[in-house]
Amino acid sequence: MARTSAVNDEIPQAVAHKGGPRSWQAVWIIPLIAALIGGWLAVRNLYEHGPTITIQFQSAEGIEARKTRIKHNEVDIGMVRSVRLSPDRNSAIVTAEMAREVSSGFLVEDTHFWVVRPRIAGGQVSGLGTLLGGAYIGADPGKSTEERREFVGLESPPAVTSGLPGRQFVVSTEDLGSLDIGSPLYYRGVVAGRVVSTDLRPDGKVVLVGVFVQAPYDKFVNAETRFWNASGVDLTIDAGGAHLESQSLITLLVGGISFASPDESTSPAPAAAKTQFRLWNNRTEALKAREEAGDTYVMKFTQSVRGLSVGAPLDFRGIVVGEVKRIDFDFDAEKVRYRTAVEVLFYPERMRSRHHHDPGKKWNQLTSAQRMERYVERGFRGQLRSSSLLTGQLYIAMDFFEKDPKAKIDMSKNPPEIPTVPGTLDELQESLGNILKKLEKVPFDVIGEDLRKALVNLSNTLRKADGLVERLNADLAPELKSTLEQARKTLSAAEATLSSDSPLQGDLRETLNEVRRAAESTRTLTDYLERHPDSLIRGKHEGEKK
Amino acid sequence: MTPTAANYGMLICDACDLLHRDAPGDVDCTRCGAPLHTRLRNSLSRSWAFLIAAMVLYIPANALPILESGSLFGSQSDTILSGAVFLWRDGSWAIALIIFVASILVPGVKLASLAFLLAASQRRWAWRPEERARLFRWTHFIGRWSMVDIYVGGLLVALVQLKPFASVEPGPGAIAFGAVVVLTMMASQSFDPRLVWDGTDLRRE
Repeated sequence: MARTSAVNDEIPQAVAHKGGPRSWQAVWIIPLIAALIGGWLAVRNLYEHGPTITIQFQSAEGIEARKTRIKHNEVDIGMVRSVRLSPDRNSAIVTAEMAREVSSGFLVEDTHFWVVRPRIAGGQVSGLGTLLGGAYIGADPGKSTEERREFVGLESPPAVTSGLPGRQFVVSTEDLGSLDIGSPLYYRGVVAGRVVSTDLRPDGKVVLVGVFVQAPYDKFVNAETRFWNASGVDLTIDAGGAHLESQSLITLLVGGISFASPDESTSPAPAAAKTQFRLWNNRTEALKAREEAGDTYVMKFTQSVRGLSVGAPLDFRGIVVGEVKRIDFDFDAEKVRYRTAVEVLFYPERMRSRHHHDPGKKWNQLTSAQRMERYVERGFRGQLRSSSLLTGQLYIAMDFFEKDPKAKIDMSKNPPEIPTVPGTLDELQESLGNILKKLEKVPFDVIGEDLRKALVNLSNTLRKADGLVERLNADLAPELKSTLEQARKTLSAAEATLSSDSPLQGDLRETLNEVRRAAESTRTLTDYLERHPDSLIRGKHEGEKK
Repeated sequence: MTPTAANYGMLICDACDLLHRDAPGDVDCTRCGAPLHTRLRNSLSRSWAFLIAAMVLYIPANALPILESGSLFGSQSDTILSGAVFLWRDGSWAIALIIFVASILVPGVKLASLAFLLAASQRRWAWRPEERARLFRWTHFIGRWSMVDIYVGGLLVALVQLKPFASVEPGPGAIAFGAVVVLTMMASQSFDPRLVWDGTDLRRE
């Protein structure tokens, strides 16, 4: 910088500043702070932004991009970024950005997503908040460890979320009836859980109902627990009168399942999760069946099993001890003959006495197979019987036929065969056949010939008798006629004599009057004589004369 | 030689306009005591510092939600851009345009032009000093309009407090955005426009 000579003296000289020069570096703190703030914001933002997932729904009704949230326990854990059509155009694919806090352990294989909309199911109203706030996506974390980013959404909310303590069981039934996901589960009338799933078994024959039993109640489910359908009303009319049973009004509408364990239940250990149970039709049926561990046996019948259906009972003196499982042919190649092989399920526990007098506990220690061996030795047989002559329905009656020839059961066969005895209808048929056979032996032709001869003889005899009668008629009749006439005349004469106005009658009456009077005077006389016996000697007293 | 005060070894007091002859070291005005300097002290580095800080914060200002509005129908958070897009789609093109220009374009252009001016001055470019000076004046003038968004946001937050039916809360982007606006203003304040011409002296001789 050059200095010019033309500087006015009036221009003052600048005075040097006191103190050292300030560090100009201080200003660089500002971008540093800005960088820190920016960095912090960026990190926080990154931290908040979790993974992006896609959920496939049947319909994206109510889902809006950048508005619909994903919630778990009513806490926002994500936001829908976009909604688009799936490549096959059959469903909607929702892309959502999840919060950072759910990035690990939440998005796993069995995590469920569903759209929360207002709905009325299972006797309860849910999702009312969505009426105003719009639909949101509910999420329920799974337990798997397999991380996942692509999900298929549920069409209806799961009845039980995974956070709830309790256990899940499977109940199999042939017909779902009015049960639905969300239907209540009752234990002694207390709502103890819900139906969480209904699946058809792959073979299409059985419906598997998944039930969830909440924590305090799940310990009441043990191996002997019975589940029955509590839907609707159960009306029984028996000797004790009409009996109406219903769980609650809700079950009438939405169905329900009840469960209980038989009182004599001996296995109090809770059943493991996912244990499969059978769904009985009603309480009576469920609690009646004491032990369902059935043994399979086969019974072979030579007669027709028309009228015997699968499920027909095995009846021991009126108590059902089993049921028919299958009916097949059994071809005996040696004898070249067909028999019907009826496969049955036999519940040995039902044959067990509850009040047994078994001091040595010998019977109790036997296995069901050993017991069956002893039964058969004592004449335990199956017999086809008709339950109704009208419908022709058959059942298998089990009983001890001690007169039947001894038989043994071969337990090594699978299934073992229980010997049979012919049925009552069979017996009837047989005896009828025997009678017919005997009748057949009767020489009806000879008898007929004899009879004919006899009849000829008889007609001859009759003819002769006829001749005799004719002769009698000719000879005897005129004589008889005159005799009869004579007799009639005699009789009319007698009648005239004896009639009330006949002279003889009048005379007789007068005579009798006379006799009466005579008798009266005789009595007077005897009375007098009694009082005055002396009059016989002295005659009548004068004084007494009137 | 261009007849500038610096070339003649003169200093002028920015506060009271008194002329001084230069002296070595830091000098103060003999009349009012204000510090005297030929050019604003550390103008370029101060400007750079503020500019870089503004640039850093410009990113979260646009990426983070500036407003978080909640109502019965759910809550929503909007960044500046999403708000502008929403208004554009909604048919309010004019407002969308204003917001876009005032809140995204202007701060962006301001950052870019300041960066350009600073770089040019640092390297003592002689390229078109008149246009560069005009650019600076324009930048300085337009900067204050960037605060429109913050004003609107502030008003909404104060007015819409109808809990639980509706509420508006400022998002983290609002703070960043406000900081960007303030920092760019400070950057342009720190920039000494005389520096634009310093590079031109030698070329003009």
